[in-house]
Amino acid sequence: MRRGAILVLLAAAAPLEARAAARARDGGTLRLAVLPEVRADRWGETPEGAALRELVAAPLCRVEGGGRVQPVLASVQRTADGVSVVPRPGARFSSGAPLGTAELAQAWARAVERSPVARAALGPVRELAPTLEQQSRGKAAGLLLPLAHPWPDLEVSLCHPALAPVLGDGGSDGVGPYAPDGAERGRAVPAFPEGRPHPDGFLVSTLARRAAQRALETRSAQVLLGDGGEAAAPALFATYLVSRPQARPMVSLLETRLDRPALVRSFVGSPAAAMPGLLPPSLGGPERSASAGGSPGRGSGTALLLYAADRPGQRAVAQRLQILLRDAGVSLRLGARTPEALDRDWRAGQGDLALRSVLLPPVPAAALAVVLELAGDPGAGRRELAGLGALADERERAARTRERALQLAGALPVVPLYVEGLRARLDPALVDVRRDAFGLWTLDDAWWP
Amino acid sequence: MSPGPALVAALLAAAPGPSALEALSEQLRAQVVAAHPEPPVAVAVEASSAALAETTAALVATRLGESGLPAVVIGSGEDAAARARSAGARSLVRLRLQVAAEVLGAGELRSVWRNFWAGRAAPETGPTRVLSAAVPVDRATQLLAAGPGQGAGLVLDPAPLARLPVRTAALATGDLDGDGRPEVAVLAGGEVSVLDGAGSLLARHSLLDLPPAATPAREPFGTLCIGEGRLVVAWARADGSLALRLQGGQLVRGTGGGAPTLGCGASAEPASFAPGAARLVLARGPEREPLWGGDARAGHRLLLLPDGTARWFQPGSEVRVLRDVGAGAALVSWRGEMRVAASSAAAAPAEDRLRLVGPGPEEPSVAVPGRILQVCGGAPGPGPALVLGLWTADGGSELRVVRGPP
Repeated sequence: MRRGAILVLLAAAAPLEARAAARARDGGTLRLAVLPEVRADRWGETPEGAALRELVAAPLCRVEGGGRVQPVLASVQRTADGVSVVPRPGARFSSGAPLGTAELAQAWARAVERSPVARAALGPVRELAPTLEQQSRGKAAGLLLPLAHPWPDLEVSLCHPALAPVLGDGGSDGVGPYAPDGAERGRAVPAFPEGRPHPDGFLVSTLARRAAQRALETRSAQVLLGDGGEAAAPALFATYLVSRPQARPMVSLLETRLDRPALVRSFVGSPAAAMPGLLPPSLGGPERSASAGGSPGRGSGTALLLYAADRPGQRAVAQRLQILLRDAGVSLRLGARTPEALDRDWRAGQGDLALRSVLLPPVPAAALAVVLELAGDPGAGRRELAGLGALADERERAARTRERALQLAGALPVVPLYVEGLRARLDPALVDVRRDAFGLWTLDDAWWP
Repeated sequence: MSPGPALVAALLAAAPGPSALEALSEQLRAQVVAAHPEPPVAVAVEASSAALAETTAALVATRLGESGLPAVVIGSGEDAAARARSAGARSLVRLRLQVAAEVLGAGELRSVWRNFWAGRAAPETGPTRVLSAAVPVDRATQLLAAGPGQGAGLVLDPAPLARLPVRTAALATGDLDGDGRPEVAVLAGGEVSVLDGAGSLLARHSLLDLPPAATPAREPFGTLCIGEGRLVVAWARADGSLALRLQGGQLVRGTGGGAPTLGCGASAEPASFAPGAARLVLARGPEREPLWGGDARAGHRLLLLPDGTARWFQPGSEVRVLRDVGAGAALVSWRGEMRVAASSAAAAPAEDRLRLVGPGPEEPSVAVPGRILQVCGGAPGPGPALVLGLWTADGGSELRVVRGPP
């Protein structure tokens, strides 16, 4: 009794630390302001869209800034034949269904239908479609992926947000630290394998640029997605111009007129950089292009360029390319598509040229695999990657990949244009928001004192 | 960060007679006054630490003021004369301090006043007088000269014992292999690792095959205990715990395990993880609120509360409430007496501070880069030492060692 009284007295006499927060505090609502184009990115293909989408559809694993792969929803184990992807116990979709190997196989079978990045990541798997089809009906502990050739970077590729498991075609039933609660809200999931996020929920407001900036300044939003960014952060969202064989003369006309730095300055905006090589500078690609020889030639004819309508940068660049080709005597028509329709229509043979933007994996060989997938020649791509995958040493493989990327640059129907980083700003009061190796913010650790 | 003003004041007050800096300032004052400089006087001091420079400049300026010479303190540097002029001063006292067996102060007194009619390129006037004074050094001056992170009692090893790409959840020291020397066990990223005294990895064991907790904690959190050659692991993302033994360079699963505990060994108290949070809840006793953690040993109990206070229960004594105590705090036997090694409760500091609280006056704290989340006594190496689990801004962590003088 006496001890208790003394304790009360001492505690009352000592003013408590008002902002004590050596450990994270739980509670509150994480408020995000996003620009309309970020909201339109339903599948999280842009860095901003991916950062937002990861709140409700976490990736399989996370590649930390230092390159270490950290399991989130599944661990990847090497087998004699390939790899086994083992979902973590406790991982459940927001609808309540557990994440099993069948659900993972079904999710990936859908992902490869809409995403070139997913096709590239799973490209080294032998007989991919039958393998996924067969295992989408089973209940094995691990999803077995036999490999057609050695591929040491598979673990990194499998962490790509494009392979985040989602149930069904709606795109909203993922396994995330938050469960969607309507279109604009999410609520913390207590049983998420990495633990519930610290806020009780999140709230997304779709705002015009000025309104979103003002929301951050007045602290009515803590995260702004779609504006700002750090030039020094990894920039891996690469945009390429892909072409059909009949459009190659037009590409040649463009290349002599193309000023990538001016394109970035005037039509893309920071954080972005010109990308003269197939690999971006952050993966060791060249920063300056060799000067194009000869005077700009002239041509004739018409062509159709497909681009993603809800990406303002792509629209502006497409219009710029249209002007450049008009100056060369070519009439370029622009075909706006949703990102999913763009991939589908291009693969179905529509269009002569297309702008393709992809978030590259943060290692050179896996990034080159995406470029080869965009080139659209699976056989040649597999032969190229088999040679690179045979190099077990990481540095040797990266160096050889850079070398091959330089050699392939003129031969592939893929013209590199520019690369962008995450456009986002944060309230400085937020704690524990980090970047992963893709340059994306991990928002599900965020809290504030 | 410099030593706190209260600490410096206490040291100055505790010194018998005038302190070294006061004696030095008095000598310099006499020399300046004797030169009859035109007031006001600006004082700029350069020293090995900002704290020493600021304190000396303030003392000299105060002494000059008391002698009828109004004085202002300005920062040192090449442009001191220009800044003295902008501060409205007509004379400048510029000093450089050196601290060894003596505190040596040397410099100059010069006029910085410029005649309006001299034009834009007025020639600099030379020093009116060269100033020089020396006095025997004292502890307060040494402390000020040492700068941040060099408290009189605690010293941070310059290099980390180990760096980890993920954040530490728990830390323990003890002899696991029976060689009589302590190993360091660390729980991080879903695995437990054992390091030798040099920080080299001896063995690791994954915890990812443990059944998941129904409501795992987001922050890395757990408890580790080493005793009787066993390492008992409890992780707040897994259900249950396990005991490991270091055999043949591998951590092999042994029998037993149990629940997380507050403290280790005979004094350990059973506890559980609060659902979904990095908090510990005691299984017995009146204190049932969620804790950041704590410790228990030899009749002492330490409870770390999420309001940034700690309750230290001592045998035969009243409960002591400590303020500004973070999640990294532990009871440590330090030169024969029990003390609390405590981090600060600040939210995500770039630089944390570790202090030792005991029955006597508190020793100067030591600055540690990062956030201290774990503290553990019995670090390998000479003298009393602590291992710290530090979270770094890049999402990784470091194990660092803080030592007391042998």
